[in-house]
Amino acid sequence: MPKKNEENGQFNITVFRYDPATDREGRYKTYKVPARKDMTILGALTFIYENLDSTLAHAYSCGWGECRGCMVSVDGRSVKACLVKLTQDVKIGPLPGREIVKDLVVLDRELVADRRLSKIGAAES
Amino acid sequence: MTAKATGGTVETDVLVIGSGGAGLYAAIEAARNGQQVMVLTKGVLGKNGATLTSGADFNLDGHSIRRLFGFTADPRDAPEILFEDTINVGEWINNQKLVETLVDDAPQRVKELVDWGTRMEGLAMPARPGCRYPHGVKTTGLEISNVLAKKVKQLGQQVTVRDNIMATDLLTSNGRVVGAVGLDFAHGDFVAIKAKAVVIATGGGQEIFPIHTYPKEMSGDGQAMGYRAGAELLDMESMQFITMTFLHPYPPTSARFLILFMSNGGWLLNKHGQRFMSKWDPQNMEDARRSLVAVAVNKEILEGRGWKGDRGGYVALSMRHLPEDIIDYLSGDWYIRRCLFSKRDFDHLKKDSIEAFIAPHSFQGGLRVDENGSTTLAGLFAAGEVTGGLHGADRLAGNAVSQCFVQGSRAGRSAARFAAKNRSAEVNKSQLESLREKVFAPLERKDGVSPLEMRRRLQKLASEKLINVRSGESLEKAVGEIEEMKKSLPRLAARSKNPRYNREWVAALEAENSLVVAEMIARSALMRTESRGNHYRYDFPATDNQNWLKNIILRRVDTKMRLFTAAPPGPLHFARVTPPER
Repeated sequence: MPKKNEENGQFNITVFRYDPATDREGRYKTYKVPARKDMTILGALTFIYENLDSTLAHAYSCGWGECRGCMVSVDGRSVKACLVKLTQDVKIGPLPGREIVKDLVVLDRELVADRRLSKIGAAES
Repeated sequence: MTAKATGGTVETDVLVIGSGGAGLYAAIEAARNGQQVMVLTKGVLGKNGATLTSGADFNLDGHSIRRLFGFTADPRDAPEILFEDTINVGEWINNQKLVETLVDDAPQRVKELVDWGTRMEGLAMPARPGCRYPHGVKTTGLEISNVLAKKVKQLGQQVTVRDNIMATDLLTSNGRVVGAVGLDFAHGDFVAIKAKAVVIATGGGQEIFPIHTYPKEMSGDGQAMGYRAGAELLDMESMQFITMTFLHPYPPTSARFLILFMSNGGWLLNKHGQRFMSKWDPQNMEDARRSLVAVAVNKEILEGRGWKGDRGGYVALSMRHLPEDIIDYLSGDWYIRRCLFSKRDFDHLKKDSIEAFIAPHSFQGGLRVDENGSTTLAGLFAAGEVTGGLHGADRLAGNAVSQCFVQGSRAGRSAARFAAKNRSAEVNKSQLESLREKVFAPLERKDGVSPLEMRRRLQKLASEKLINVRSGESLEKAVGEIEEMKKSLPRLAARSKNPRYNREWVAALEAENSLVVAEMIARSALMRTESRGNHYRYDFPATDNQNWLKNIILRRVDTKMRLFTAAPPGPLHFARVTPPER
């Protein structure tokens, strides 16, 4: 995995895009997000949505590690996007094995019962 | 049961809008009373709403703790004490009937939650600001959220929960609320639900501010749709700000607050190193009423004695005067696990101060309800933070979550009773059609104003002019700017035209609601020419019990927001306690 793109202070965020209404299969699209000390994965996705591509679908509620609404797969690990800091180029997809509503949003009510996922930890850095 | 864009209308007995503590409690109670219930949630059941993120520490008087759980508790503490503390902190404009139902019903509701499987983390806790005795029960918001979601699922067919739906407006017929419409944003479908009774439980409107302590979906939808349907609201100028918050890493919409410092000896310092609370409350200092501390902090910042950061102003919080082992002890506190505050941060506190931000917290104002959760409109009920009157000018710490259970339960029961007595009314076809058009307008409009730009503009305005420290001049400007922004509403357009999970489309629908809520706050704050609780006026710094022991009520008349005042029902009809001489 390439480390921080030092030249222009940006990271490449490669995001899964899929609209079940129109697409036969998903594809990945890469966006450039500014590197900043306090940027989380959720921050990066929000930055993309607000500034680069308003069609990106991603869900979250609280933004600080409790609701699990922001969970995505980052480089193959299922994480709370709000608790993981962005320190390198990453590939982001929906949680595996669930029906996709659009892009990173999945139907995942059952996570509610999973207490292992409710533990609060400090943001990784 | 699905409603398609073809205009199909779904029918239920009781419709609950919102799936936090109040909404789910209302749904459970309405179902237990034999009604068919549908819940709409602007997210996914059990994974959104403010209850989930709450501290979930709620007030229960010592007497009731002993009665319910058999634990030793302070014998001086009784429902009457909690009643008085709530009204003292609310600075005497609470609806005392609502306060009475809170202290009387809360023990029952807590018992019920425990019976349903809620794991309580403990009973005693330090006395919070405004509470005379240490009391209460603590669990986690997540625990409550899970238990209520499980309970709802157990009710099976009787309660249908529909995820990812933003209710946009109420359906009315001859002055009665007969259902609601909204957007199923996961699929881009319009939904219309015909109901015999509707319960609004959508929570606050914190999203009008750029940074706050609540989940991001709190855009004031319930207050706004109630208002548009003609319901009365009150106390909208009363909005709580919480002092000892720190910011979560980017995105900067969230702030968490560290409640433990308030009761554990942290000092608040300005940039001259002064413990400025001595000017406001030399006896209680940082443990003074939360509203007073928040006003003091914001005044320090606004008057240049604090610091300004790119994500808001702050003062310093210092614990260096405390022995290190006390700080170590605090770091093991239950609340810390929920604050993303690491051991390293605590070690830092032994040597240096940290930034103590101030952030918008709970709404005290909202839909005007009676003790049974009835609003001023027939067929419309409301519960939880979307209502006003219980807390008055400031909310006693620990009363938010119990409010949700108590009011949710009562509103659910009232809605069920109303649904059992009244047939479903015909939906007005032309109203339905115009509300449908309104929902689709931001998607279909080719180009126009960006909903995100609109939100940024409103958030900037709110963070400058609608915070707890206010002046007539800036509030007048705020009203003017809001009027100006309202002109842009018919031009809001989502850039993407894909109907599926289109967040800008939702943001456009939210923008109208947030703007209405901001207008309510600005106009009510302008009208209250005194300082009380969370509302501080530079031009009227004193509390004026002569003229202002009353509530500001507002409602829509034609298309205008009309405000008037009324004495709270308590002191007139229900004087358990009366205000002290000032």
